[in-house]
Amino acid sequence: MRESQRPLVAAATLLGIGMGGFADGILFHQVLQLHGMLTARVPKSDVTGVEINMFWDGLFHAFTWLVTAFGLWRLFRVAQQRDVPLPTRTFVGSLALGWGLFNLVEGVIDHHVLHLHHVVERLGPSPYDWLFLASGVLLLGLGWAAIRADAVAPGTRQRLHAAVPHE
Amino acid sequence: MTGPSRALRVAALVAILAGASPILFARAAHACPVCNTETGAAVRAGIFDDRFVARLLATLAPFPVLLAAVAALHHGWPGGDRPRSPRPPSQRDPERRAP
Repeated sequence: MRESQRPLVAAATLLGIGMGGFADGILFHQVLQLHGMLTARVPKSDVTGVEINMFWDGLFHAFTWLVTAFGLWRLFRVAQQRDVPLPTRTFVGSLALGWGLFNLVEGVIDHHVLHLHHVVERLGPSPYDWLFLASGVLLLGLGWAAIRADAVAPGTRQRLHAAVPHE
Repeated sequence: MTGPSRALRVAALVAILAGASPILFARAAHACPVCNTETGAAVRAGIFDDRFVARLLATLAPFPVLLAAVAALHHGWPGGDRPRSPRPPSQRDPERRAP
């Protein structure tokens, strides 16, 4: 990765983490309701269990929101630097990198280490947990490849070389 | 649809919603974690018990790891070979020169 790519990569990775966190929360917690934040500890078998999980879901989403807000702030700062290139491939790749990081880190910690919940709670530990990790690795790999491709692509390379790291 | 009939339908909908609102809000209040109800008390007891701190740390555990990864992307890995300041022009890669 080029030095001049780092600020954009970091900002977009934060946004990707946020997108991953909200996608998890919206899709798995709310729409499909396959699990809640603590469903392996507090089953959603009655209203109280649902409410308790909703509370912890909310805290998780609050921190996801903070990460997204921080990413937006960083991206704004990067956009203010006129000498920093903003290649689309690096931006999209970094979003994928962040999303993949989220799936990988959240999956390992919450599903496999702490056992707070599993992707399909009804099944407990299941291949879906590993599929979630695999999606993280895939997104992370695709994102990293896109960032690397921009670092070595002739047109982008010149712009990245010409840019001065802004910190 | 003509004007008066649309207005009539809207008025009917508003009336129905207004009439049903006490029921809707009452049901919502029963499930509210900050409400003074039996369910609310059970929810509060389930959240703010002696496992609260452990659950808080567990819920937030991924974030320090994720932020550390982003910091590493931005600043380079600890002990990495990222230069702390731009090299002088004389030491730069010839490719770096502007055309």
